[in-house]
Amino acid sequence: MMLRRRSFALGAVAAAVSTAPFAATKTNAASASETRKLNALFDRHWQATARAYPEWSTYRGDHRFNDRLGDASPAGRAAQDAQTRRWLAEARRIARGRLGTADRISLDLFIDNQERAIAMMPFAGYRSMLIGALGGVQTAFADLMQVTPMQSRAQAQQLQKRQAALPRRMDDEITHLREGLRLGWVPPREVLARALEQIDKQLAAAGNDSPFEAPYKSLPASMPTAERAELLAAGRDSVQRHVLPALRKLRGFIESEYLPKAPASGAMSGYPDGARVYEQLVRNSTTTTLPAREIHDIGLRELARIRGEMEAVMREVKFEGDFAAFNAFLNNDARFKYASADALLAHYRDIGKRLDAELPKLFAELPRAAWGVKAMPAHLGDDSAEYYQSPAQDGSRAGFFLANALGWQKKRTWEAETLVAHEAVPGHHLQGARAIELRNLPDFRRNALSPAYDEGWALYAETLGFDLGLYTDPYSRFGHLQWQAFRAARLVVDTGLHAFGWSRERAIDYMVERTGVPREFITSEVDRYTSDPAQALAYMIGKLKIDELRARASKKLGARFDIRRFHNLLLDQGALPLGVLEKVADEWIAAEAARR
Amino acid sequence: MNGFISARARHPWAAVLLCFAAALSPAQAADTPQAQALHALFERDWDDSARDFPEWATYRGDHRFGDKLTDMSAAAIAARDARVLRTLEQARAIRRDALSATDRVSLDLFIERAQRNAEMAAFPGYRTLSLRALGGPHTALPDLLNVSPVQRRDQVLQMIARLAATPQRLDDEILNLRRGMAAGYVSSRDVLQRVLAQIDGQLPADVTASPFYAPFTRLPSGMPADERAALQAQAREAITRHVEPALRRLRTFVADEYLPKAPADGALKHYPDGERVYDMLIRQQTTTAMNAREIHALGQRELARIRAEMEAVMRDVNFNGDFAAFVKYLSTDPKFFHTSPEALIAGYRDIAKRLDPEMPKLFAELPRSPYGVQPMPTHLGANRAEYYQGPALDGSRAGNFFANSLSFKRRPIWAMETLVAHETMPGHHMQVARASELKGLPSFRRGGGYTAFSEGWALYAETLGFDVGLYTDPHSRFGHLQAQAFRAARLVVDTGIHALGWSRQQAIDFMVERTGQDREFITGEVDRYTSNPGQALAYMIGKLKFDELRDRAKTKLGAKFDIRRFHNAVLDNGALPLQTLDKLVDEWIAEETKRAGLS
Repeated sequence: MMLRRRSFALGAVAAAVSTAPFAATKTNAASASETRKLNALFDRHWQATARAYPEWSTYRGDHRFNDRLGDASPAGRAAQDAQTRRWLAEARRIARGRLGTADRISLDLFIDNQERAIAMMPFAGYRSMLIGALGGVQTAFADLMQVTPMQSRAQAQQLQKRQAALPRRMDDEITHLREGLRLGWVPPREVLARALEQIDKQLAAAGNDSPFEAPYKSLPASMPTAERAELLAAGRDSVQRHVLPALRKLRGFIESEYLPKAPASGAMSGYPDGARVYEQLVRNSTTTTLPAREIHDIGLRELARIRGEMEAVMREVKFEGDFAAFNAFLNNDARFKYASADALLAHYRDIGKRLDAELPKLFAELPRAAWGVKAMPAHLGDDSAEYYQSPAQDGSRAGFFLANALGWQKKRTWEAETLVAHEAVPGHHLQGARAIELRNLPDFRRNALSPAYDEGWALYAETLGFDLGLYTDPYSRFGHLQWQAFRAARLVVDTGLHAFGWSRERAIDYMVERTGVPREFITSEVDRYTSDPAQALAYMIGKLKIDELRARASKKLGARFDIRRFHNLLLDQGALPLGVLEKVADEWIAAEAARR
Repeated sequence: MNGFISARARHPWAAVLLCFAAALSPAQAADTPQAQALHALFERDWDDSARDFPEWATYRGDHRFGDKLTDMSAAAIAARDARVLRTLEQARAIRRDALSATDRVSLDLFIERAQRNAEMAAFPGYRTLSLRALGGPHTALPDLLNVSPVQRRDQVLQMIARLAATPQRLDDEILNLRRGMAAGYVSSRDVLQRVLAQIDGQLPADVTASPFYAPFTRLPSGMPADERAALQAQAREAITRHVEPALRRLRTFVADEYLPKAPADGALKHYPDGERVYDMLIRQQTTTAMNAREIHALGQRELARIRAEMEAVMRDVNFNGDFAAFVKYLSTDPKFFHTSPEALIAGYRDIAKRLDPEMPKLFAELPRSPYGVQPMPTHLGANRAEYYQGPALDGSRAGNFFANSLSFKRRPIWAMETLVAHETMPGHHMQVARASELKGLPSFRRGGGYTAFSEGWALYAETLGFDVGLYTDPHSRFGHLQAQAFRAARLVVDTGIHALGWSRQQAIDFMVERTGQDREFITGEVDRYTSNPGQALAYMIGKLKFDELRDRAKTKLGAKFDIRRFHNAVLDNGALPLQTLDKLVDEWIAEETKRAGLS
């Protein structure tokens, strides 16, 4: 999964800036004044967004606003909505016909972003669902600590101020949650129970394990010891006085007010106007107009195909027993287990380094940004999904695959290759780092988030492992197939849960049986789909589109098809809605056919 | 222990060949007539060099002359010497002040290289000493065949033509060695004993076990079986009819004529005009104006400092016993060794992948090229030193650190971190990949090498490990220090042997005692210094220059000193002689002062 880690309002920001660049083609007969107007709009929008969402700026490596938090009060939220409408109005006043090709697409994407954000505005109840199974307001501040720089006294003081702003911010979040409660929107019980555990871990973590004190401990060694000690002491004080009380308050609210009202099921169909919300979320997530029924059927079809391949591997290794027994063997046999958390990390790194050396085979130009593997913070617990964190915009911090080292006992060696290919290279890191380095594009395009594109790419990237020396071991190949099956099953289950009346139990049973993934893991997955409807559709829908485009390009270009150039084509526009990606690919195929 | 070998520098005489490298495609717009003349000169020289040194062209991926070997006849050598002088004249005729700053540096480097070659031509006796401890024309062919493409029939035929050209090449070599002998230049006995063993190792009873034949066993599976068999038969015939008899002639010459005239030690001091030769080699290898005595004293000083730090580690881990006992413990306790070749490689990759994400702390801009860690091809045997191979200039192949995994029982875990830092990031890969991507420079500067720069950088890069999370384990810190001590000892020993009258035994004993390294390994090292005078000085001299420049920049810039920008500043002109580097860093410091002042 790809997270430019969730900040408080990241969902809102994603909607506000999530869009994508287009090929920097020539601007023929463009009006200079109209182009200037467009760029001025993009600039103002970018700067205003950076100011309105200071945590998001921190993630990007823009540290101007590290001393504050965004305004989540009702008035603040209303002001941001109004601003989004004004951006849209302003964008619509630009004369599209007087722009160059590339800028036209940029404008279209900008408008589409605002429209999608506005489309969510009527759903006030849904928008109050700030607590997710993977994280949310309950984890956002701790996550933010991981990317908070600590190179100087000034930065330490910035963080103290930001920590002091947390109580007010948390009160506003609670107000928002209460608003939702009134409208009949509360996440299901499992998700809230998980959130309480996540909070408890943060509260219990003291000293070296405290995520809130951690930044103060990375002050540079060149700073006088006394000064470092002073700043650390002041930091500790602010954690005690501001951060922990704010978290306790949130905990108290969830436990005493929120949880008692939580439904047993999180199906969208059970919430007021939930069916319409789900429709909109499907459109946002897949960037297509595919209806839930069709998505459900695609999932069933893909799953049948992949399951066939999984069973073929089972026969290849001459396993005696049925599919469930094979999975039990894979999960229980000692040869597939790790000896320690360090062994898990070393294995991931070994795979990563093997992959690095092979990338020039598949890409004409690679990003500069480096990437690494590290253990995810302890407060996320031992059952969190692994994720990728983008490099800083200015090249000052590498990208990271954050591995669940705490959960090493539940990890198996045969699933590592497909996972590293997904999270790091040629998956999320390659795409995300490349996008950030496309300096000729406006900022909002380089930072675009679009799950169908990002996750579709990463899932497609897993299949590239066959060309990069992965999956030579049949068990590892099975792992790869299992993870593909898993994403196909999401199409079935997410739509099942939210649109076709599936119960949580049915969803869990179905996924366990079809994919062979252990029940405990599937359970938390299903809770994730429940708390983040339609998000999980993006992966396989995006991947299938990329497969389709590759097959088309390869067929039309024949011997002229150059896989290295094709992959750069897919990446060099930043994230695009799938429909736009398809148009870009078609134009590329035509240009490539004409190339000498 | 670790060698820096980019694709072309695997070649034993690559050090000489590189001097002729020139630009293929100067990226700067050739707008003025002087700039045009300069770039035309670079291109012409590039092309002439590929023709004159076909092996070098092969290493660079230029296969036009893949069926030929360098003509080592006296007439050809004289013609090349004349070309160097002509080229030098043409370069000097270009008006330096009419060029851009980048072109001026390029011109200076081009002239400096040509001068070095002209200088070397003045010592015809020394120049014949081609049979070295690490190899020479007697070992070059298998390496060359191994980097030659074998995908198509015509490529295989080129290789077979090279086998057929080998007798001429080696017979010319014998004539050169005879001329050297007449001038009083014969390699030392110990070195020549190694040479005989190396020749014998290439003459197995069964031709299919011949190292010359190995590349022909890797013909593509897509080639029709009968065609493959026919080509292989042709190769076997060329080996038995041409290569092996020529090698035997060389062996006979060495054993019967050359070796009996060999001096007991190879100190340059004892050869005719040897002191001047050594002075020249020191200058060329270190790219500084230091003399042998100064270098010797510097080595002693560094070694004393590092040894004290090594002993401090010994106390840190509460070891009971003396230095020799500590080293023995480190080299024999099984807990310090991986248990399989695969585990060793995975261990290197783990270190490399821990280093990668730290690089943004050290550099403002990183190269695009990735790198990998691979086991060396098995045909290189268990005794090859680790090496690094640069990425393809066009980005189609990654850089690679080739590790000797067969020797996992002799690669202690505590020596791995410093080695990875040296060979990959922030060491050779960082420098070489970055240089290859500097599109604004002519290609002789993007791919060019100065040992003092590239090895100095890699050795300096090892010390950067402290800033990026390496050496937290004291044993690993010891490994790092030992690798530093080893290069400091080279300053003492190389000058000791060639200028200060040290015997081989004295050199070996000194190095073993001071660094704690294995005696057999050190013996090979000392023979290497004997047969390649001055080369081993480059590492530590270069490293100390990077230290010095960093200290200078830090002092002058104070709070404005940015380590990330400093590292890019030293790398972003490609490899340079240290004196040129020094000048350019001064210029950078001045600009940086202004830049920081404005912001």
